[in-house]
Amino acid sequence: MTIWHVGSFMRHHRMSRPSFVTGAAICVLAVMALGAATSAATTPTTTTSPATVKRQMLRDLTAEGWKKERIYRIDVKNHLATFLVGPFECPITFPLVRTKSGTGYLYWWPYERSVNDGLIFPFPPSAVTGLATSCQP
Amino acid sequence: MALLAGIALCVVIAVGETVNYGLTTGFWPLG
Repeated sequence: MTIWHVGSFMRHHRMSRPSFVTGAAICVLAVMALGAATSAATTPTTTTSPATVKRQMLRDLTAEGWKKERIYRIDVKNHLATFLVGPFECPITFPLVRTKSGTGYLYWWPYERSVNDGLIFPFPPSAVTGLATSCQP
Repeated sequence: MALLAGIALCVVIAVGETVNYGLTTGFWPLG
């Protein structure tokens, strides 16, 4: 259907153009009002505060098993995060021990769970005994 | 008569556009 069909239909039924345009305008205004009302009804008016969102995020991370720990050193270039595992301070690479940030804290997957997941190897007893400053998986 | 025809045409277009929007944006998924 083109505008020519509309004009032809109007002429055939002897309709006046101003009345037709007025009707169309009334309808357009009604549709716009309907859209505005629908938008106002469906848009949430109450917004959750950033503090509440952050609290919820921290709760979710803890529920998943993430642990909030102090990271001693981060080697951005070599993707190494150094933190305390047991009595030793061991360098753990980022792909092996997952971290989550963006919550104001840095979360890491607990070492014991990483071993269970097969992400990192457990320290052999020979490496654990007698080592004070470094340890190799 | 012309007034009603104008309203009717507008309503038809509005409904058509609404359905088109709902279907193309996946708001009303088919199948």
